[in-house]
Amino acid sequence: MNNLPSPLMQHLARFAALTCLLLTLGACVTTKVAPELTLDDRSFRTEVSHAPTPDEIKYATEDSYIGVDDPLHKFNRTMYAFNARFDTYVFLPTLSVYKAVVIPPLRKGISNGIDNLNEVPNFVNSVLQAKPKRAVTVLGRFLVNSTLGVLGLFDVATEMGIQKRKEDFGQTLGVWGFDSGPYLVLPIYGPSNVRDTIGEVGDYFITYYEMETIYDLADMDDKDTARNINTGVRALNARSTTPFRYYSTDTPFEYEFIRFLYTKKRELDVDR
Amino acid sequence: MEKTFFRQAVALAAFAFCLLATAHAVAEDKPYPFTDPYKATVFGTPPDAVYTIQPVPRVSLRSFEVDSRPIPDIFWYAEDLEYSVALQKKPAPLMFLIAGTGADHDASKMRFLRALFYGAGYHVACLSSPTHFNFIVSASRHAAAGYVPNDVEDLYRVMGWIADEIKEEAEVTGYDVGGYSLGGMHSAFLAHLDKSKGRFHFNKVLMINPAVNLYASALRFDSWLAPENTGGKTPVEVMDKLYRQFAKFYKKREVESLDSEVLFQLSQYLDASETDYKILIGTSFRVTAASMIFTSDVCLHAGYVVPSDTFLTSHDPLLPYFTVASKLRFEQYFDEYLYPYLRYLGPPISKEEAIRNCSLASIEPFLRSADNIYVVGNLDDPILDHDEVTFLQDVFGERAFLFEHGGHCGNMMYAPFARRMLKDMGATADEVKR
Repeated sequence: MNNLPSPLMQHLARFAALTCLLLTLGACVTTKVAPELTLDDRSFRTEVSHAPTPDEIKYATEDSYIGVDDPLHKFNRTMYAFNARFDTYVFLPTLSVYKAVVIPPLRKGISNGIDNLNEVPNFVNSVLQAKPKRAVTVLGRFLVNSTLGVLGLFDVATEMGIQKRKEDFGQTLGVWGFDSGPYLVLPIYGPSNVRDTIGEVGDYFITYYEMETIYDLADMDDKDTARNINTGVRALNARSTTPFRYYSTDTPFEYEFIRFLYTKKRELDVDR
Repeated sequence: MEKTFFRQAVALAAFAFCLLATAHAVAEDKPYPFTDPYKATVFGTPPDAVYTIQPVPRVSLRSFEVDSRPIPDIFWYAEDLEYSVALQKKPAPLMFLIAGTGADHDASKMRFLRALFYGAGYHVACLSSPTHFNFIVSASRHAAAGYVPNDVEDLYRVMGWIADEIKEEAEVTGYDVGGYSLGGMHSAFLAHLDKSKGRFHFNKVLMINPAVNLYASALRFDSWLAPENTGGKTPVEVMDKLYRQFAKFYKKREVESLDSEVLFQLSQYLDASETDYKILIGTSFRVTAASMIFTSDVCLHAGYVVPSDTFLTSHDPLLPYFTVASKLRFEQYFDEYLYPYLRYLGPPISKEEAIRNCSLASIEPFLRSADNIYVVGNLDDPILDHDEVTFLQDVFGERAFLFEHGGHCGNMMYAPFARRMLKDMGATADEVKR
């Protein structure tokens, strides 16, 4: 018998250990036996009903202030629920490991560093949207933070009064006149629409070439590892800087409200 | 010559000292910025006037699952009743905090109160309001909210569970309870219930901006949306007008996130009338009420806003149900749903009695005699009418402290308000000064 476990076994053991860790970090649930709380009698019916009529169901979107056309709603709702579960069982537990391991000032540095790297797509998009003033601001931020801010670890520019501004390719497409298309909930990523999804792909390519250039400049040997770390850290950073938690908006109509708010916010972003 | 110089120096130093002292006093007593109670209610306290609290080092999120309780498909995420606790490392009293209408245990006001009382040395346990969907789905005995005696029994049961859990891991030297808005009213009823049940023997009870009569306050919100009070505009028109102003603000200020500083700037920027703010508050209350009504109806299949033979799945659009539920006035909910349900559950009760049971007046003798119940609130709280303010002053006397301005919970985080809450709870001088 070989005393040393095979690489596969090592891998499995590591996976099992991580799973155990994640499970212990999950919420602490206590089961209570309370016969008076099992809702045995549910036969009460109201005499008056305000249930929506078939027409009210059909024209619900048009009739509501928060209505947004949502032809893909079956897919979207399924994805929304999937994302909520993924968030609870995978994303947030992983995030708490990240937060436990990486001290706050370092996390802030990482967050600033990623923001600084993202000034490149911000710049490209400002140019594509023909906004020279904004492009200059973004460039200024990038130069200040890359130098005085030690490769972007410190956001010196904001302290100097040069405000952060996000410009993405979805906005660029919007400025070019592309319609937002149907609302779309992306796996893990969350609320979007067809135009912004294409925008994400556009920004992905800009960032991809930016990172490849950096790897080349740094003369990196193991680019695959660098790419994996980059993806992982960006995902963790994005989640840790987003305060949103699923089903914490105090209403069972959360899907409808998020859809409305996302759509309105993107309208404003394209407009400014 | 030297003497003169010395005297001058002393005078100068004294002057500087006085200046500093006044500056200090001014900094401490900077007046609450909103004298308009509706603006205060909407915008709260600007960051520079917020009482400085230390963040709680470790907040533990927990939940209870009730064995064999049926959970509707669309509420799969609300199966467990969530709550949160922050425990001291040393023996300490346990303070229960009850959230306001429709709010959960982790709402921003709850987080503030949790940190405030944790900082004053309490173990703290935060509970969602029984009117929140999570409570209705997972732990409400009758799966319907708004009838205070029932809601308070539900709270009391869960508080017992929490006390049992905490006993295992921390030394609890006594119990206290407090809450804001409807949670403030609940706190008084919890103290009253505890008199007969005797589980907690609360040291202190803190009512923060409490409702005096639930039904009357809810009707007041609804009246702000009644056509005769909206100045010829529909609520949608007003919301749209405010949205357009916000859009302009967003564009001009290059806003990236809506933090409290930006919110304060927005409060200065918006051009809105008192009627507009009333409509905004009324609309927000309707969203809360619609959430509560829909949740209860889905749990009971009562057929009120969802047909009783419809079993919603997580694929179904919920917008049509939101639309019909948000059109319901509280009076309708009471007359058509809650009161018939109470009669169905028995024992027989008149409508007037049911409404009175949701009012502090129903436990007035108890409130008068209990010397451990305190009220902190505002004279201009828009959920109270003149008689209700007088009721608080009359019943609680010295134990009610009402600020001149602050609206409904608007100044809850304002330093003098926070210090007052600590003082009422008997926190030591050091903690109050901090």
